Amino acid sequence: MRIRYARAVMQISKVLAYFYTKVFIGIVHGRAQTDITVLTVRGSSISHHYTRKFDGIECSDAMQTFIEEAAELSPLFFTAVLCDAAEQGAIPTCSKQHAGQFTDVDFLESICFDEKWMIYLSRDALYHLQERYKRIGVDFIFSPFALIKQLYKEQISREHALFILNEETSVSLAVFDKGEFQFAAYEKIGVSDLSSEKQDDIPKRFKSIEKILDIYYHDVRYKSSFIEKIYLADTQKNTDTIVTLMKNELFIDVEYASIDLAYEVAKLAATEAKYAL
Amino acid sequence: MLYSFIAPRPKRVLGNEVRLVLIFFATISTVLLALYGFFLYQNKELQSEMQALQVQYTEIAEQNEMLIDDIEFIEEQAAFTESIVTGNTIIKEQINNFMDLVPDEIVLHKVVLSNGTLILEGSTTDRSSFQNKLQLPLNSMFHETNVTYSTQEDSTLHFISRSTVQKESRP
Repeated sequence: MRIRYARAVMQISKVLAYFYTKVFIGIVHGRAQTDITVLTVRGSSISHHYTRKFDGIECSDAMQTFIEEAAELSPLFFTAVLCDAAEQGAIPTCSKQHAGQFTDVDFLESICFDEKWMIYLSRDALYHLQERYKRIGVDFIFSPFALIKQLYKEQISREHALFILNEETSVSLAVFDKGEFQFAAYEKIGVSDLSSEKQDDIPKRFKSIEKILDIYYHDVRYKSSFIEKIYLADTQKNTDTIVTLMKNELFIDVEYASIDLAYEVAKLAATEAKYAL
Repeated sequence: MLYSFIAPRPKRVLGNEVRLVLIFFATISTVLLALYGFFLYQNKELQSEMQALQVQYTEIAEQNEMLIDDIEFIEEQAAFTESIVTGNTIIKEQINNFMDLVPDEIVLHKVVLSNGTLILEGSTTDRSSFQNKLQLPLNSMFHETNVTYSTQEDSTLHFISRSTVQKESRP
């Protein structure tokens, strides 16, 4: 009887949910600030969105107030965070047995795609993330690779290319060959001297990308072939330099897109909550 | 597709008050539906009962008509019988009366009564005593009386009287 009642309530909720405005909150934090996007969805289309930047990377009162105000718009509100933990990645297998050759598979949370590759995150990191956003509560925690997959859905299915998500504190790289996952790496970009951050940052990032590409080409655990194109999704403003560097040094065609990362995270949350946009 | 490492917190679209209102209306709707179903069932039952009664009524009406016909026939028969009995009684009395009227001068040899006709054969001493003592009462009882006479060897008069009554139509 209780199960029937719960099902009936769920069905009614589903019908009513269509008429409600849904609110998705995307949270991404950089080195010193946090971007929060509020995205409202009516029916199956975006009705409104805005992004606000907050100082600091810890959950502050201002952030909490801002999110609570947004949450008041609808009982259907979801908060999503892009995971920035170093202990994450993606590997070309879903088998725990085979995964052992790429990473330590114990204490990992993983999501398998097409039964061929998976993204993973350490349980510790997941726990810390949840603790960090305990005040506001989190509904979704996304891997940057999931975001890449969502951002370049079409290109991934038809091309052999390197897909890069260039964030302020990290670089995520994934290689797909016509839909087949081959390789991925997540690299945190540290800063030694804050005053010369912008100047030091780009060569460091480029070197990281070069190093990762070298692993892709030479590590026997990965199936590799020559990459002819790079898709770069960038949240940084001085992208031209890194694009030029890639073209000149790697001799690879680069297609660049500037993205609002918090907005993309909110959009991914909407897709995940099955209110497909 | 599942992209998130965690599942979202459950969302309550319906508040407690809305839930209560919904439960209330759902209960009322269920009760009304149940009542509607009950009445529909009862209606169907009553209709089938009514149909059975109608069939029974038709059968009884037919039987009744047959009985009425029978009663009418029996009544007709009874009336007819009564009329016959009455007629016979009257005739019997009339015959008795008639026999009482036959005088000593007249000897009857043969009396035939059939179909409203009375045939008398006999002998009389003379024509006038027959005409005065027997023909007059015969004329009063019958519509028509014809008498033929013939003289016998012993000088008495032999007569044959034929009296008829006009037939009455049966009711």
